[in-house]
Amino acid sequence: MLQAKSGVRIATRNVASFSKRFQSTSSGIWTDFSKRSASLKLNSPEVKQGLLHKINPEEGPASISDYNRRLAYHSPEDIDETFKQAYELLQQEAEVKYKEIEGYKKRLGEAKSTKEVEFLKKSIDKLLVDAEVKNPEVLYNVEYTDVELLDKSQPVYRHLLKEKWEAYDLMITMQRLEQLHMIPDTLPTLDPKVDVKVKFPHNVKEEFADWVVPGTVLPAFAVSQPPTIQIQEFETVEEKNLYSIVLVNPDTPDLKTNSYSTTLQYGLANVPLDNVDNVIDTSKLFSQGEKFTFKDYQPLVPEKNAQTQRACLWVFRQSEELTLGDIARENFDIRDFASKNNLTAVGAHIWRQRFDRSVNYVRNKYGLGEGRVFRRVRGTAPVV
Amino acid sequence: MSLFRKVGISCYPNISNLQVTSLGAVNQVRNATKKVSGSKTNKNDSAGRRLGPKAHEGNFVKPGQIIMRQRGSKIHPGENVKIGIDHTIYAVEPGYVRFYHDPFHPLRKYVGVSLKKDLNLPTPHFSPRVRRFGYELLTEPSEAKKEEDHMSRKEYTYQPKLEEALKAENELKSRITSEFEDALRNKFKLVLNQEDLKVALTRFYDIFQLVKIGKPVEDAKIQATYNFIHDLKLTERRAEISADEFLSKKAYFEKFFSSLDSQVTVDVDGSLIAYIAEEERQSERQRISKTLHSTYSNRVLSVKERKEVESLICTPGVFDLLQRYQLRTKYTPSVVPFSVPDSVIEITDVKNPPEGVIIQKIFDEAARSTRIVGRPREVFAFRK
Amino acid sequence: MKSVLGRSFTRAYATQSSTAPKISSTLLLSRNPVVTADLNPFQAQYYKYQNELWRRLMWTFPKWFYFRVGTISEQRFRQLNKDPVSNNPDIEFPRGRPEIRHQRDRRFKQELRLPKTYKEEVEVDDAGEDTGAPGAPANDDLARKIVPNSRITKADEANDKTSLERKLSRTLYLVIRNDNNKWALPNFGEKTEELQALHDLAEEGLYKIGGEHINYFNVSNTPCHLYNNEVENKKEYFIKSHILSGEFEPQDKSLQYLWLTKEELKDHLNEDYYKDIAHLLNDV
Repeated sequence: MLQAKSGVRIATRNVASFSKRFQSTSSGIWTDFSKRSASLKLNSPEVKQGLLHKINPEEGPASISDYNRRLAYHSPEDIDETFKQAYELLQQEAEVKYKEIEGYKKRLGEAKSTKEVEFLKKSIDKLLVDAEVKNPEVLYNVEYTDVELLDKSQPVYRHLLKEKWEAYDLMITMQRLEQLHMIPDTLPTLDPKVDVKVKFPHNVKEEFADWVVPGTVLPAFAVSQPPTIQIQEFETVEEKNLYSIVLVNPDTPDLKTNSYSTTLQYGLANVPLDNVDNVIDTSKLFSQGEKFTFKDYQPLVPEKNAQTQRACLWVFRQSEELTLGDIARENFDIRDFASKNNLTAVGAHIWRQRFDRSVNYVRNKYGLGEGRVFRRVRGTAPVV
Repeated sequence: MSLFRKVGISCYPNISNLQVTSLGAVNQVRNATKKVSGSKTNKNDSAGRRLGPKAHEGNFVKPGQIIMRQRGSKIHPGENVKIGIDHTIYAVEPGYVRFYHDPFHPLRKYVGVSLKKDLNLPTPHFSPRVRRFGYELLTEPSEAKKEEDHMSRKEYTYQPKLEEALKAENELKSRITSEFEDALRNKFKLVLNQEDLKVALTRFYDIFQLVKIGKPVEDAKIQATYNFIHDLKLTERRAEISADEFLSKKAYFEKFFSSLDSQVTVDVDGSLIAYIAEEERQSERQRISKTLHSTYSNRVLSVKERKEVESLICTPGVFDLLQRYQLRTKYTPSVVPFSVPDSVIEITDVKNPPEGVIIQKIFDEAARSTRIVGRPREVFAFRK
Repeated sequence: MKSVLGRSFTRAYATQSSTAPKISSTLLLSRNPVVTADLNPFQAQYYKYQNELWRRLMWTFPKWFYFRVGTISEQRFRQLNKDPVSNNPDIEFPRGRPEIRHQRDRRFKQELRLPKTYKEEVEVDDAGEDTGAPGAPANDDLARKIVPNSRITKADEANDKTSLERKLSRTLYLVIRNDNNKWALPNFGEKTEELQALHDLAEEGLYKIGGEHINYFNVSNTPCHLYNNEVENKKEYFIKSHILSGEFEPQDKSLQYLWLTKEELKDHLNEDYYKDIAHLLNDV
């Protein structure tokens, strides 16, 4: 997560509890899981009890992790009764929506044109979101439990995650892309559709083991192995989409022109992903990496005094399966690559690197030889 | 200089009527034509400041060269150009001066430096920026090495700490790996050749480091395998081994790792334990949780009992880091809560409390009064 | 007296009738609600909860301003309001340490009891003996306690549907019935001798059946609805009016009348007729 992780957090007390003294809510659509996914409910009975009924004064609300603060919490007056009545009302509204969904599903079975099918599917998705978006259990799961454990096949979870993304992570990403001039130095612009998260899992230092905040300066040893890339689509993906991922360095020094050129550092194509299966991690690279890597990973190894170099990761959605020939690393034209292969840029990420004491180690590991050294201060020779 | 001159002139309104005597005093001479009223001459002005453009359209400028002198920004700074404290526009890159209008600010005039003669400003908004590298290559090897090895004062003063940290890390690694070696030899009675043993020890150390930062064991194993295979691939890339050798080694070591994993696994504490299947682990977790709940919950635990709980929680290979933390806070908190019945003792004689009981004044919210209660010593985990 | 039949009030019929339909005026006489609408249970609960939040977040009552130190009223105030539990560092507070500012615990709602400024009934003690305090104040005594009237009247309790005092929070509509007929809104057919405006028809009809002691307000001369009574071959133009004060006193002994709410009208009126006019009736 890009948001600050303050150590270990016991948001839910998930340790198995054997107490059966909990109140049951009156039966309604939100307690019925015959037609709804079980991922829409709160797993812990104590937390559920505190949320939907009365908070146990000896325990306090489950969303507060500090013990003393938890006990010191006093609920507002009349909240339990008001919550209960509001819950009943909202549940009734959700029931109405589920009935509508049944109607739409029937129509979907009889639909003929693709346009109608599309419209019906969209309507069903929207109704599924509207029916669950006010469910307190769903909202609690999104807010206080680990986001990575949520069931992304549920439209409501994707909707709420999209809201969270738009509220912070998206803004950070776009700010970094613009301010570090990744746009327009690589591709001209980006209309972000997916949440791209990158991390380097081989790291044993906690500092580098978490998701990378866009724009961070990373040392060479932290990026010496291929990254784990998570691509979260918020719209429903029925059959798997094919994705291309390209990592470029637009700051490679080109001494002939006294300017910069772009190098292709890493290239993946024809990666099948959907809403749930959304991460290219070590196990996937291990089992299927050969199939979809068209350019092996070569980490950025900035030379001494070559200044800060950007590692620009672009995620494209493919329109069809690609067959790529041999593509050279040097002088890589990403705009040409994207247009030739009919790729739409849907997400991007960026981090930076500069020369540090681990660069030579990584250079030797990848067999790149000795790095050049530049003068510390810039000369006055013009661009050729 | 100009300031003084200006001031000097304004003191004397009528220069023509001044007479300087031999002693240097200044007298105003009144002639026959005596003026009755004061008059304006409109002659107060200063000499020209030589403002305006110093480099015209198309001129080649070097970095630092002033392009425009002005009062306020009549002309605004554009690309490859900066503005000084008195709004002087000067070049920052060598190139050709271009005056232009920026479509984002239609009422303004801009001046910039185009790096190439044929490139017009403003650069189209979606085109990549033209940048100058400018850093000269250090060809002399000794000079290059000297520059590369150069450390800033901050880095230089930090070296002792880095050495210490590295030493500590190496010590930990050697200690852990020797423990692992002993365990492999004595506990698991595995006989491996030198190369395989080394590989196995590195692998287990990798897994240990990953597990320590909170990664699940299975993921850590996959990552450690990937690390090894990736390094092997790099040796192939560096042409140290042939492609066939790589494939054979890969197959061999994958088999070796799977056989190792079927026998040995790494615990969160950093010890090698026998492999436990996932179902068995789950059942163990449930069993221990049940035991903890039935025997140790809602009670004040003695020191011995706390140790028992700790040993149960730390049963090798059952709970991961987060679960251990949760269990510890639940069953061995630093201060046992008041809700636990045994933790509060009614005392009759305040002056002579029973042995091993600490007096505490607590406020009873229900009764709205203070109670003096005794709390057994065991309630507090860390006593003075 | 122009007929109010405009160009827009004709309707196409499926079957043409042989004779021209008679024109009549129906009076939709309503008594507007007297008190504010009743809240449904969730509304009431919600407002109660919001009120409690508002009270919880209220500023501390500036006692020092309203009850000056040293005065008798301040003494009375102190008698009624005891200080909250103060924070003693030696005591453990399992449910949170008090934060006292201006003799108020900031963590909770401030519960104030102010000295009485009104006179009540005779003060009696536990034994039932009269303590000798002043007796009940007169009805027009300014110092008496302000007690609002009940929203549920005697007519509500007796379920007297002819009373205008029933269901003060709802709109009541007048329906009448002669012996064998069904319940319907009062309808007055046009006179053959002279042409009369529809609203005049309605007014005259109302006074004729209900007496002169009705103070009513006619909303508009323009009818609000047209009902084609095919059974009686009548066109009923609805005139909306409100009764402001007075009583409907039936002049004819055989005339029965009721003042009904919208739901009660549904039970009393003809189904199709009700469906046609339901949109004219107020839900509140």
